[in-house]
Amino acid sequence: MNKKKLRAKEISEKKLSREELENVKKRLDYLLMNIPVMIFICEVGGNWACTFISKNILKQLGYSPKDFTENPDFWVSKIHPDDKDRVLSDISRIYENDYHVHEYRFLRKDGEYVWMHDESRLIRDHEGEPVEVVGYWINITDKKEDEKELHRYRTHLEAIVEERTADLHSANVLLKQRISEAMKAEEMLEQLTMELNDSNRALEKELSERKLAKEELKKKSEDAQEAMHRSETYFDFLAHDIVNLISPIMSYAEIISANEDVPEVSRKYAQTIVDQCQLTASFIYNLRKIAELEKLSAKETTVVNLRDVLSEVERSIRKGYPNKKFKISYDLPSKDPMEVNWGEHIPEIILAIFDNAARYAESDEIEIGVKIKSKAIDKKHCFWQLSITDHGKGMDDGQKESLMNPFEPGRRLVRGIAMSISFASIIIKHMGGKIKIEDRVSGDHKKGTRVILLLPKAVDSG
Amino acid sequence: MKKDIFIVDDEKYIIETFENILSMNGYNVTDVAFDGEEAIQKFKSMKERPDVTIMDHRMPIKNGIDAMRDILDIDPTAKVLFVSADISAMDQALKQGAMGFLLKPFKISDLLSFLKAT
Repeated sequence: MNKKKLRAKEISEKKLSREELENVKKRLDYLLMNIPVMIFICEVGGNWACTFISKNILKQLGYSPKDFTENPDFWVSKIHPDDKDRVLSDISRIYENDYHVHEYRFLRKDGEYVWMHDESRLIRDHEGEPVEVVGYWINITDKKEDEKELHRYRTHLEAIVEERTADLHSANVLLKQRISEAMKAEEMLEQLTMELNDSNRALEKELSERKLAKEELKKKSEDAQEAMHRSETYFDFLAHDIVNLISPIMSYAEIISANEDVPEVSRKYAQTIVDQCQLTASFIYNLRKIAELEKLSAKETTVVNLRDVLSEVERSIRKGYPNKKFKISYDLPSKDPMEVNWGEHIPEIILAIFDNAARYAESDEIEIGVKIKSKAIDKKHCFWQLSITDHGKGMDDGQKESLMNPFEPGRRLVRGIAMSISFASIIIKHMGGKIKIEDRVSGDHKKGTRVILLLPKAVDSG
Repeated sequence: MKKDIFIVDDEKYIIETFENILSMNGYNVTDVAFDGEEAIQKFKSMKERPDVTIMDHRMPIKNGIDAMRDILDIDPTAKVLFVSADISAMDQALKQGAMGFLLKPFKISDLLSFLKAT
């Protein structure tokens, strides 16, 4: 190739590389204008005055590159006052590693501070002396806001965690307390269970012993009842047979005592036999009555109306003494019913009193007066007072006393074959009533007797 | 005219006593029985009914009250006088139709009073 051609070629190549350079510069400018990263060059030390900054500073912070390059203090003056000392102090570390990164707030032209990430490298010459600093700047406000938000969120989370931890701690303490209480309760329960088991065993033992004792008692009670029943049966047979045995004795003795051909003394002895037989029979009958009576309480007895009882007794006494003439008068309250318990015995008691009047009357005309009235001692003790008066030969005070207390030492049973007044008094006392014998005419016991009975009113009776 | 008496008692010596007392006092003992059932059979077969039947209560086979009930069924006009040691039978005997009830041991005069009244 000749020189001319070579020269032309060189010129052509130079022209081409200038155009290419221009194109590269344009692309670089375009990039610098549109990327968020700003490139800068600054002096070393002092106020680190900016000697170059990419044009995109205008878009990012609102300043022109001239604002930085023409005022050496510009960069420093726009640093947030709270960050400035830290930034200027820390930047000297660049001498140690030739590299420094820091973040700080920087005043944007519109008056708002933005967070900037500043990453710089120290450029040295061949001798190692610092020449300048090159670096890039990037707005990280969004990142900082995110961090701040993140921090807030974290703080919030931490607070929640702390709160939850505190709650958890409290719950834990409470749980521990509950567990402790539960354990104590369990221990107590265990203790109680043990005690209960002990008590149970003791109770079972006691129950077993009691059961045995009860069975033993039941057996003894049954034996006793059986023995009692046997005894009652024996007594009943004995009583019946003794009365049967003495019956002919008494009859024959009576025949002898009435036989005028028999010597007087023998007749007298025979009469004694009659009397003794009567007493024996009376005693046996009355013992049987009392034995039956003691098995009963008022609730187990029959309620009777005294008006009905008197009718029945009058019928019986008239039938019992068909040859005697009875004049029986009544003075009864109009109010019915005159009810009393012990219906099994009351008729016999009244019949015994009537019988006494008939048996010991001095004539065949028998006069009996009956008077009944209500008498209340207090609210709980209400009675029917029954007065039966006869016109017989009466009783002296000794006889009256004997009748009232037949079993007292020194007393003797007196007259009466069936239900004597003596035993009537025992029965009446057993039923909670009273009996009293007085002269019909006060002070003259020979003009008849008045028997006064206080009979407890039946429950709910008027 | 002598009254005819029928005696019912399970004790021979009691019957003999009645026989003695009654014969001494002008009564005619026409027959005797030793228990309630025998009494009914005899009463049923009698050509002439007694004026009074003297009846004990506690006897074997059939007691006096049951026997009296049957006798009264056979002859409602029959007169039965109880002479017994069972005081507990008195009410029932009188209610069932006995003309009287004498407790043993009885006084002869009381027995005669009863018989005289019939």
